[in-house]
Amino acid sequence: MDMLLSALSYINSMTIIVVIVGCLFGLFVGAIPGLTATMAIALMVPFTFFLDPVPALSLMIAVGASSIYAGDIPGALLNIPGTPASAAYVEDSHTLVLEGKANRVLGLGLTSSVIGGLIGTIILAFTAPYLAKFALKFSTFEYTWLSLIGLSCATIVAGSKTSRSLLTLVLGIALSTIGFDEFTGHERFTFGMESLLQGVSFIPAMIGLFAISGAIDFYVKTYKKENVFSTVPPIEKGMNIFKGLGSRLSHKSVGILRSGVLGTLIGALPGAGSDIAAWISYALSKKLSKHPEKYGSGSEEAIIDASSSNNASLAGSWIPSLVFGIPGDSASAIIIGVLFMKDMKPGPTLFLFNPEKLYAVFIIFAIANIILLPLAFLAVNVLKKIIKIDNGIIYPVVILCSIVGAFAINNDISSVVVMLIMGVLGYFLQRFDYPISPIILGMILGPMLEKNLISSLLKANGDYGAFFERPVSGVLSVIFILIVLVQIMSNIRRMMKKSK
Amino acid sequence: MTQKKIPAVFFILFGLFLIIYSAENLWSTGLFGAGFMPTIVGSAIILAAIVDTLSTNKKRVKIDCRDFTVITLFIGLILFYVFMVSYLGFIITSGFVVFPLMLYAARCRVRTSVIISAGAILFIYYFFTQVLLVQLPETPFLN
Repeated sequence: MDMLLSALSYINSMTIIVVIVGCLFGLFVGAIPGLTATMAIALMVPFTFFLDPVPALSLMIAVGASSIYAGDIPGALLNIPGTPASAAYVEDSHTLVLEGKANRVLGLGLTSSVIGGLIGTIILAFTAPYLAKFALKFSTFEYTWLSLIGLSCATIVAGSKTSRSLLTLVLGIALSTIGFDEFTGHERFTFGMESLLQGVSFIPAMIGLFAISGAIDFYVKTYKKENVFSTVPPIEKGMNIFKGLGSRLSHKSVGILRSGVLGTLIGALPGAGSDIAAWISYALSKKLSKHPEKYGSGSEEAIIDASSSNNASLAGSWIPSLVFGIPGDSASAIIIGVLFMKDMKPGPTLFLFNPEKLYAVFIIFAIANIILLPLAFLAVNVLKKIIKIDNGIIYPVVILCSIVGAFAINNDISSVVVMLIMGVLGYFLQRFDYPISPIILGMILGPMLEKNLISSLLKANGDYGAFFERPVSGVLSVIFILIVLVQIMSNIRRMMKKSK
Repeated sequence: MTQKKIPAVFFILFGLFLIIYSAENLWSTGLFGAGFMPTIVGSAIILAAIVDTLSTNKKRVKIDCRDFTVITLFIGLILFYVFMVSYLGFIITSGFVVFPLMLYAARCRVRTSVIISAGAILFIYYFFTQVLLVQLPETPFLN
């Protein structure tokens, strides 16, 4: 109790103002396609120089939580995920918006994100040291299986398009091999182009696949006079995005809890982040759902589960950062820098020498998530008017934002070319009925898979049996094999049904 | 060959390219070297493409020359931005991209298109350079 009171003494009006400003900034940046939560957090670092430790960390937490949620907004309204974490359920949210359910979709996403964030906070506060110890047991063998489980989610999400989903997934992995090979330093598929040495960033690729392919589709339809103007969706009257959500969310409480816990656990694994958390939760949610056929074509369950998971993973990613100083993702790496700067050296000693500050951080996590409700409510009600605007006006602005968003990743114009190529590729793939989201998953998990697979094989002298020897690795391998078998069985069943 | 088989053929050729490129350029780095992953990926692509070709897909796909006209113009417009932005700067080059697109498809008057285009470009320029501190190419003769 004394600890809690000491922690509360750090939370003053300045801290709350910082949280509000951080949330507003995060909402704005996260809603712009191409600008990630990491970028939003990095942009706030200079401001932390002038703040006390707790407000400085509050700023980081608020920006992170709000920008991850904000990625859902352009995903739902324009079919352009603001962050890679939102790519998993963008088809569901946009389909529902086209059906005139913008308020409901944005309300569901917001409330689930906040609940997920709170679940993650509770787990962070009570289990941080234990979870971090567990996460440290993961070696390259376990990470290889985890990457494969993550990749297998793409085929689960795809439903009847398994082979097509697998193709685009592997295409994403292939794209991730471009650039320097981490082990040998050998150039791969660069063809002498310097800009390709660092590889293909998945942010311009994601912008191209979703925003540019959508823009091309719009102009092709306009040229062919296929009446695109009639596709402007209806919009619900009123500002209340929370209307009727209570019963839906209480009905889905088990799913939210499951996704929140799963998101936190995945977030706690160094190298895994909100993107992977959202995909795995989406896939698990689909497998356990009574209506898996709705996934990908407007499932509320999908939005609830995946969005609660990606916000929960944010709290999870702080676990290895705080306890061992190991970043859970790139945003946590920046936060570790801020911790050092504020004389809060991350590690087990943090719990000994600065416990009150640490618990103040946990309380801020909860406050930032709760404050997100009214702030995002206002932001969403302003932004949702976008869908009423003529697409002929929206698309040129989207294209310009996409160009600038792609450029801003490395301040490199070659990212715009990558965006364009991926846009054209995405357009043709969609015309031929290939899902494009797995490409992003492949690009995110490809390097993680390759790094851990090759490290493991080198350690084991090429002995593949080593992947099954360690206990956690063994469990993960069984999970992966089960997922693959279930997928094969359901495909055979589907083919047999069709042949009848 | 029907149009809907084109992607599968493209994927098979792409998979073959990955395998051949890896065999010729990357296998010198050893069994678990730079060529290991691209070879596995190339093989997986070919396998998945064959399965995809064999599976039935009843969706009709029709891509005609009108698609290619629009895509070519679109690519030209973005490449114009890529090559000219360092000479003309962000504001002017963006104008050449945004305004024609808006004029072509937006259901509003020319004057309105000009105002919206200019407003959007200036807002994006200000927001990215002043708030997000992203260095966008400047217009040489406006400085």
